[in-house]
Amino acid sequence: MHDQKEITVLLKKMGERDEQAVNKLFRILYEELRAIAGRRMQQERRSHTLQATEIVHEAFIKLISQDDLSVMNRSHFFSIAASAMRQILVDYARRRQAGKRGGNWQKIEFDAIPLYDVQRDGELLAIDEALQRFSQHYERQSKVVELRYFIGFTNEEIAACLDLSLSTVKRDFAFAKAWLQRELSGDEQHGS
Amino acid sequence: MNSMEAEFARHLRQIFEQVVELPEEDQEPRLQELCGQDEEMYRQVKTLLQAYKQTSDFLETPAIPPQSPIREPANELTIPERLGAYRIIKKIGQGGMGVVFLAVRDDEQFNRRVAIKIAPQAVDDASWRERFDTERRILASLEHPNIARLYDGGVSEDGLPYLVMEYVDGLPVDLWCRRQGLSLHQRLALFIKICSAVEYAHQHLVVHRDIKPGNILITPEGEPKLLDFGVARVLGAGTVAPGTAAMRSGLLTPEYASPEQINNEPVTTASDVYSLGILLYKLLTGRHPYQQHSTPDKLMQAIREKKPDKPSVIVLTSENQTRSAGHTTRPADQGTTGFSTQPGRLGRMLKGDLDSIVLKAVRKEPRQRYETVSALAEDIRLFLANRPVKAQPDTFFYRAKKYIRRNRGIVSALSVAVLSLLGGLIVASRSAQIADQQRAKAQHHFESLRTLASSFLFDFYDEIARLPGATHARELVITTALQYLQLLSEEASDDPSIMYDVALAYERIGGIQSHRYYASKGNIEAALDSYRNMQRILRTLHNTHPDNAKFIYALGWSHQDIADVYAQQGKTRESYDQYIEGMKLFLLCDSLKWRPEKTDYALLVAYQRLGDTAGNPRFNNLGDREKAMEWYQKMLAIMYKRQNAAPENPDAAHTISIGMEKLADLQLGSGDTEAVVKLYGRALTIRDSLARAYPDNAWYKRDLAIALAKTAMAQAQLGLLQQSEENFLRARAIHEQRIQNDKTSSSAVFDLISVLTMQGDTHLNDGKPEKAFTLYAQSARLFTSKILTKQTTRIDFSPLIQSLNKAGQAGISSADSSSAAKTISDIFTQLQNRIAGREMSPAALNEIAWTMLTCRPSSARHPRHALALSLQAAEKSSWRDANILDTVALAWFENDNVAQAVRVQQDAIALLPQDSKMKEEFSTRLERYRSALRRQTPKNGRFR
Repeated sequence: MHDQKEITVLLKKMGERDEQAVNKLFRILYEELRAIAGRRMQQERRSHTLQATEIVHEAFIKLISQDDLSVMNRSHFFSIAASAMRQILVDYARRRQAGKRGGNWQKIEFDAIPLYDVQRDGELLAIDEALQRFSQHYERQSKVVELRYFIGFTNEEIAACLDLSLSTVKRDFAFAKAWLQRELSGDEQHGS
Repeated sequence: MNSMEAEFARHLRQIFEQVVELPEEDQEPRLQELCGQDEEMYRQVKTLLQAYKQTSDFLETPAIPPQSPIREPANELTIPERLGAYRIIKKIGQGGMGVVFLAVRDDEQFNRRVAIKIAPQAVDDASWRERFDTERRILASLEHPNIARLYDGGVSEDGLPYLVMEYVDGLPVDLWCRRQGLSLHQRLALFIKICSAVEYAHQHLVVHRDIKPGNILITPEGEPKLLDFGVARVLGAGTVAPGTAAMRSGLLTPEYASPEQINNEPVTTASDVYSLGILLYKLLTGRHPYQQHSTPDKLMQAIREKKPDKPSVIVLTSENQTRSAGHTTRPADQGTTGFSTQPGRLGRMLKGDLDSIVLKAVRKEPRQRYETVSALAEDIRLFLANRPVKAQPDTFFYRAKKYIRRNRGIVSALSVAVLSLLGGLIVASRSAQIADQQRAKAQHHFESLRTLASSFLFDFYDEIARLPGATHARELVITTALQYLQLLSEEASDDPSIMYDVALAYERIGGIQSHRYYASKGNIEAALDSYRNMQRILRTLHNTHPDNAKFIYALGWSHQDIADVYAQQGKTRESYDQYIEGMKLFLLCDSLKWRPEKTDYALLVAYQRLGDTAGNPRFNNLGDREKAMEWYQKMLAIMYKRQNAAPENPDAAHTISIGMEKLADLQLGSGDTEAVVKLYGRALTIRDSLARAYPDNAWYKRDLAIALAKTAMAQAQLGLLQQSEENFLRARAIHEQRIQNDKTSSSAVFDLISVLTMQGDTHLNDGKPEKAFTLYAQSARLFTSKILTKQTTRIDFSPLIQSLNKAGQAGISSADSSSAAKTISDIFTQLQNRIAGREMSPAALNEIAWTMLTCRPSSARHPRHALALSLQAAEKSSWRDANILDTVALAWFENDNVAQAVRVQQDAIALLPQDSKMKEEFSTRLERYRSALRRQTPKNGRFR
């Protein structure tokens, strides 16, 4: 499919730090992941097996040509996918929160959107915001959080995806947890 | 980024990582050593280390966590340390529904105390999880100040389902009343509050099932909080059946359970009414009506069979004053009322009204109780206001109607509650029918069911139709109604009068389904089904009762209804044939001399539709103007007949003016413009005199304006531009006045928009595109500024789309087409802002997106907005609507993503029905995208 080719090219350009390629890839993945999530909601509303990881993998199989599975492209793909999924979840959460202000009926409709636990909307949005600040100084560490929190990757998967050692992933995650926890509990203005 | 900052950030991380891995006692010295003189660094790392200690499972659960599988049930419940995000603090209770824990959500920023209820045993039924989740979501949506919120739920490590609820620190209501020594009035006021919470839940389709003092806690502020709404069903589903061993063994106390619960019969809102009645009994007398029945078996027997004593009698028995009686061990259930009032005086206060209120609530037969909780509460309010309580049972509809008027927003829910009540009745009547001696009773059930069903559909329908939004609720109402009708028609297939009602109910439902506001493709087909059901029933009735004119008449309407749907679907020929069938049946009615005024009206409508369909250019028609003229003449004959019968009736005159307009419409196609003007002129004269004779009648004003505009159109075609312009201005003035008079109504705005568009049309035809453009743009702006700012959710966007397309058309012919493009583009931007955050139907989104993509001049287009809107539309319709996908594809294409365009267009084509006329058009576009893609993918593999 042309799309697969296009995406391969975009992934390659991404490796060359082509910002436009990143943006375009992000847009494609955003729509694709949403579409998959939406379809799955239709098919599987009953079994509740909607998981971010599965969605991302489905998108991967669909969009990445199977004869091009270079480690490089793989990791770029999942890294963008994590950002896209993050955006989707944040958008859903925002919409739901907007819906709450709009009254009960809308709310019921929004509750049907596939996020597992709507009670966590506030948490999700707060984490997203704090993560934005965190990433200003800690890009790699925030990527670790993104892969972990937004698409549910295990430490091993993250290590493979970002080409890091497992212990680095663990250390990065510990630091991120401390930083974000401090940020969210609000007892400390972030100095850096 | 400041490089010093970056350096500091890097350093901070390194120090943190070095220190955090050390044992706690070694951390401080190492930290001081590493930071040296840098106090800021020391403070930062220190706070991070502190934060780290609090993190525990923070961030550990992904935003969408993987599901934990349901495991084998554990034999004994061990106290878990935590459940999900909650840390268990202590056990605070245990009962038939499981164990209750106090817990805390211990992420620092979400610190809150909750009660967690764990079911006594696991359930491994496959469908159970689904039901659990659904119910949980419904319960979580209950938001009422007097209902403890349900926050969350899940399945524990041991496979036990649990629910996380608001933790309420309070006293059971009976204990509270006694301790506070509340007066009779205070107790009743408190009880009304409790009722309002139950009523709220019923409106959301939730029945409590376990109302008792222990589930109604009063906070220190004196506010009641109802616990465990619907929990019996969620946690108990499949585990504890009422009236079973669980109940007898004391796990589930039946004191407040209704007879139907004890008998393991279907539980409806009526069961909650019963339990509330027992609660009221208890609050007023300090006693349970069956307190003396000390074993559960005896108690259950009493609940089934024994009529309770009047509350006023029971407070006078000395026993109540001295003995802390009762079989139960809960202190709350013991002893006296806590009234300071003397028993004799209390007895007098209870006697009469309160006696009958309580006893009505606790009747054995659900249908003899109060129909709703609010009816119960209302009677108490009437008592408190010293007004006569409503003893007669038929006041429900009267009250429900008033209720609808007061509470528009929740009325659909109310209707659903009414339906759920119906459900109870149906099932009750079925089981009742089994017993021979109860046949009469069953018949009675049916009667009330029929009244309820027809009242619901006939009286409430109009109110529901006007409700803003709430599509979901409306659909729920319809689905539920259909289910009950199905049941009802199976139950009563041998009773013609019930079947007749069922047929009319199907007609009502079809009317809702095909109503223009919900007229999606799927709904229209569903409407056709409903009408066919209606027809099927009526045909059977007609076959068995060939002389019954009422059945013939209704059968005639079923053909009319089906014809209307066909017309909506563009099946003109089929539609025409059905109208003919309907008309024939009405003529048959006519020959039987059955209710001439009804038959006349039906014939009038049939002739009108036949004329419309045969050749009126304003409708999809068969192009047979002569035939159409014949039908219209027949129609007019009836109209005159009706007017002669009631010369003083203004509506008859008004109808004739409509007939004139129809004839004029026909002449439009003939090119005989003079005749057109003359006929419109006659319609106008009638309307003018009506509007003068009835200056307060807003409808006559509106109709006059419509006639003015139509006349103006015809005059313009005749070249009578001066007169045309005057009439347009008169029409506009009337609508503007209407807008001034009623700022909330949209209909006057829509009318004004339509006049502006028509006026624009005349200028465009007259070769004045600039003037036309101004009018079209004015009408589009009117739409965005006056319609889109209203709160209504159901908006017909077609006038806007039409204005925009026409404005574009006029714009490209006008002298300054670039400023026209700018104006249109601005309107698009305004439109985009106004619809952001609005609840919009996929069809409306799609129409707007398509206009943004295809309007002219092309420089006015907004492909980016269009993409966003069409994707929204696609998502809302689950990517199953071919027309929407067609728009999405074009939007991708216009946004330079040709590959996506090709893909989506392929999907769109795949979704088209086999014989669709759109296939060719869709394929042409696909070809266009494909060739663009080929151009874009040169051999060296580079993308542009």
